[in-house]
Amino acid sequence: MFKAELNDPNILRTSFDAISSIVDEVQIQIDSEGMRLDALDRSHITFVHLELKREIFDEYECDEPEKINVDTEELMKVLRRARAGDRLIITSDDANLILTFEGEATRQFKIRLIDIEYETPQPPEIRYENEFEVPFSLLKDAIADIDIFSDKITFQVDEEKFIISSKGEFGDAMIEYYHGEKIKEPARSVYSLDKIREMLKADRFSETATINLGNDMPLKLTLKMPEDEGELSFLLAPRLEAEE
Amino acid sequence: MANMRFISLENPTSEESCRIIKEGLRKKAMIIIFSCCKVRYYGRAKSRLGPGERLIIIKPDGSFLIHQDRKVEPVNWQPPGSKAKVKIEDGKILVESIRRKPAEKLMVEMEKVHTLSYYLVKDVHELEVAGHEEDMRRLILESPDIIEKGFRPITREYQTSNGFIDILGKDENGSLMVLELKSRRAGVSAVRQLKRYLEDFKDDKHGVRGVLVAPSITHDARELLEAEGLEFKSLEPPRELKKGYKMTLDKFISSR
Repeated sequence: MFKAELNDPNILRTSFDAISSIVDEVQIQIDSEGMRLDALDRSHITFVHLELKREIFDEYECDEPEKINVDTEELMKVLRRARAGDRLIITSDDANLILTFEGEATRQFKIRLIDIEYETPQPPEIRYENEFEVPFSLLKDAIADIDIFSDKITFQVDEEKFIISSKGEFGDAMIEYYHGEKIKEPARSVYSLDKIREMLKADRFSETATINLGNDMPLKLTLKMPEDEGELSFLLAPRLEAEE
Repeated sequence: MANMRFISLENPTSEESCRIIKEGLRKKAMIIIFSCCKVRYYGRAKSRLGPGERLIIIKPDGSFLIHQDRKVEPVNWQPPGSKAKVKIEDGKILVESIRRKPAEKLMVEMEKVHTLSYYLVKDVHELEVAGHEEDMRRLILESPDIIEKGFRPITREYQTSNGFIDILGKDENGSLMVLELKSRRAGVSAVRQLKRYLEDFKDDKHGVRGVLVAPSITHDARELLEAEGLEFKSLEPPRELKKGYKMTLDKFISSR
């Protein structure tokens, strides 16, 4: 049996804003350390990892590890019903994930658990030469800029700058940012704009994003809470240009 | 892929069928049933299908299809997002597929199940297609000279009071050119469509040219085209699949 209480359900809501647009169902693993999930989207292009340590919760109890399989869309519908000032209590029984909002009234939602036969994927381990931080809002704005001309987005980093760009039939766009960090080797990869947009729906998780970039390599985007008590990270497969 | 998991039953009892269908639905499997059944539907219309042997497919995304032994299209169906349920009523298996908005309900009463199986499917790829108008558009925008030397596209999907122009551009002399693209043999209706688009430009002092771009044109369409002072450019839609491809994360991920 487990029980977790959150004074501010926003962290869960913003996480699932992104997660529910990427995967239809997830397995949430709960133990005495906290909650975590790893999931891979249907087309195997995006991997998402969420970790919420027990320190985030105002109260946290868990006698034995549990695995909870849930439809992300149903969960998101419930999380959207959170009202400002609501306190959220998460528990489960044999058949349901139970979310209770305590505010002016107590509102309880039971979400049916599902069977997932698929094996939960392991978080991939990729070695990167480069790691740098950018403001989350910069990425969010860049999406809107790139969207004017293209559905593909190029991420590029060199010693000085992080460059986001696109080339379209009717125009080009380029955003340059001086990152002020040590970059070992310049790197460049192209991604689907739609996939990046899905990841960035988690816009209230963290003010900065950590990026790992390689040449024609998956993009790793990590959002961390200030005290390291929570992390939401994504891995996105690149788009490659075919050889002539 | 070689170790796909499935369950398959021949001549199952009603109880067995009900249990396996329930299990398949819960596991979001692809369920395939061959049975003697009756079908009723109500929602946007009402329909009834008397008893007969049919193929029923329930997909993990909620799509529900009932096929007879003829035609490509299913005889009854529900779209993705519908929810299926199964129960036994008077010894018969009753499968329902329900859609909430708009409210639609498909009910299948199975007299006898011949075969029943479900499969836990892995299928990550989307269909890639070439040969559509969108592919012609891309080809023209990449190499405008295939329309004529000096042609410069200005914008695509330009809105007029009569709809969207496929490609708007200018010729060598700066005259506007309106391109209407068709991926198959163009008929009279395509010429009329082009003519309507040109109405918005009739006051343009440089003159405007209307060009129908298609692999070929019917005799009647050509007569009308010439009478209206429009032009025809023969162009086959490209049939090569897109360059540049999506890579998956598969080579970076191992399963537990």
